[in-house]
Amino acid sequence: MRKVLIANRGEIALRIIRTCREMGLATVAVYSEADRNAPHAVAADQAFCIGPAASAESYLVIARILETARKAGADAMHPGYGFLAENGDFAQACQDGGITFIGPSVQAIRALGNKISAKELMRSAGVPCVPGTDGEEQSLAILQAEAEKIGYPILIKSAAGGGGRGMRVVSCLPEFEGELAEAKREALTSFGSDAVLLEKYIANPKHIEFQIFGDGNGNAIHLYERECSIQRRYQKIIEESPIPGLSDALRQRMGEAAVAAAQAAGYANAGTVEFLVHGEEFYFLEVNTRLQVEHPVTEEVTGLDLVRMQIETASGKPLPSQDSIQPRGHAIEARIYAEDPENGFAPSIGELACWQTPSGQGVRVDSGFREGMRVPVYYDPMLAKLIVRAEDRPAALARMTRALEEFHVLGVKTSIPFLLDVIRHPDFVAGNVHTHWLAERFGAWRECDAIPDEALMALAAAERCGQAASLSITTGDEGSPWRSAAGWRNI
Amino acid sequence: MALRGRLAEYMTYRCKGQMIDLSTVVQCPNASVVDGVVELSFEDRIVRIPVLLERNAITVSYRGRVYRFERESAGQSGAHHHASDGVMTSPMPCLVTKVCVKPGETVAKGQELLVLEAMKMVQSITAPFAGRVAKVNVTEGSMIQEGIAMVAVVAE
Repeated sequence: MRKVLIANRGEIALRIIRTCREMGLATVAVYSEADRNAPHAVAADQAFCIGPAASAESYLVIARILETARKAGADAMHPGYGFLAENGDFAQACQDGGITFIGPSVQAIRALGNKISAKELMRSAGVPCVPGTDGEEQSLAILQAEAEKIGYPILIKSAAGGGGRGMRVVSCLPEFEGELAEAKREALTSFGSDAVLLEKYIANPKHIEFQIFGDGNGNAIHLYERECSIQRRYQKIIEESPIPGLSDALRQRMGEAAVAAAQAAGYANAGTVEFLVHGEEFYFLEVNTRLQVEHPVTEEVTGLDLVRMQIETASGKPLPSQDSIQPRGHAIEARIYAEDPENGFAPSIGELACWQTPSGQGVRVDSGFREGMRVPVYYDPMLAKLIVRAEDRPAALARMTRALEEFHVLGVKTSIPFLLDVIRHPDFVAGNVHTHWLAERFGAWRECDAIPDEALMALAAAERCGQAASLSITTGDEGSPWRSAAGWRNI
Repeated sequence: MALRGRLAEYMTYRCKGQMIDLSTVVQCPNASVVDGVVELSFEDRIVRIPVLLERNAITVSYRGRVYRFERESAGQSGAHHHASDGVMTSPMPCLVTKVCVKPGETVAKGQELLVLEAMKMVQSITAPFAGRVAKVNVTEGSMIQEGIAMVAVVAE
């Protein structure tokens, strides 16, 4: 392996490029017309435009990306996360083109990408699964009978989908028929198939995942857990490791199950096994056949570079032993989004007029943005991942608070004030959270009304000095008088 | 320079549902603004606060929280008029140095209507399209706030 094409953008592309450089590998970036001059494109040894801003015409066009790899002479492909990372056709196209795909095999992506076949595989490997149907029978009568057998409440979800779309909770028999019809309709429009699965609905579970690595020859290890219960719109916003309150016995059983899952799939490279946990019981949820957004949490506690491990595994290097994986300390990640937490987390589009990131011991910021950049409307509005590491959880929480307070973003709204309130909430501090906790406690969140004197003094100073035009401010507001020097001429 | 002091006294802002009259805010005597950062120097501490200035708002970031102060005077003028409807509004607090037209006068597209001065700069306000001057709300030598409807042109 000599040259890696990174089929992605933003912070993850930048993060992969950095490891490649440290390993002496040449890098090729691809970018859309909206990402010209984006940090990831600038950071790579070579960069090629692959189409218009819309992902469907650029980052998702397999043929264009492979053609770019050939043109640049890349012999390996890293898909990052999202976009084509879990697309079997993309892995297949790389394989057909003689390019090493830094990820699992085509077969593993396909087998684990389908929830039904994944669950069957896990059952056969003895990994506990949530009681439910296999998706073969789709008639109302049979599904209704199955629901009775599993016992209400029941969760109906799309067999092909994910991300919470098409999911419905049914609490009793009379509601079943109507909810089923709705779930099927939603599944069809979102995922092109109306096949649904029934599952026992587990109230207030924790969402816990294990990082795994396989070598494709039946060997696998795990890199311990990440707590991912803090989600908004089914998207994680805070992750940490280790998990407060997780017993050593349960941690060990889950780790073994994660390894068994990897082995059952003949898994190669990095993956994540997700579980729902209720008390001391855990159930297999799904395998994400990619590097996760939250992988830095595991890197910080294990001291390992997961992208380096991915590249080494793809090059045929044996896995480290399970015993050599010894996590230390505590790590927490908070995702900073350009969004309005007071308004349903609606994306906030604009220009980053001010962008000051925190630093200092144990603070890591993975971001694909710099000051002055516009937050593009075409892609995920995640601005940065803020990861802190400390010797224990209280120290990590204090460090996260400190780092969030050092983070300054102006020009778009961000989740920073929201995250500060979440990590200081007594339930969060005590580790008493589950997947519905955020919606229950923070569903109607409003920022505190108090305005500190310092903010008022800054307002007064800015007002006074603003009229003297001593501010060199760029803003997303095209109409800003401080920007619209166009019609004005000096006297 | 006298212009700055006078305007600041009248400024009212709104933030988190509260009205803030700048003349009542305790001001830091040693404050400076450089490159988008306010520096407040007190006897025993120095506070640096990033600020963003927009047409109708000043936003500051302090200790993980962002405070957006919306200019109340601008808010009261209601929806912002754009040149496209023929109503020319003041782009910022400024001095009207010249009024070139009278109500009822016919103007050509691009014809000079007013001349403004602020921040050591002048700007000509010109007719967005040919028409007739319906109204002139400002007089030569007057100081006006931001967002004031200065002159209206109607197409004939």
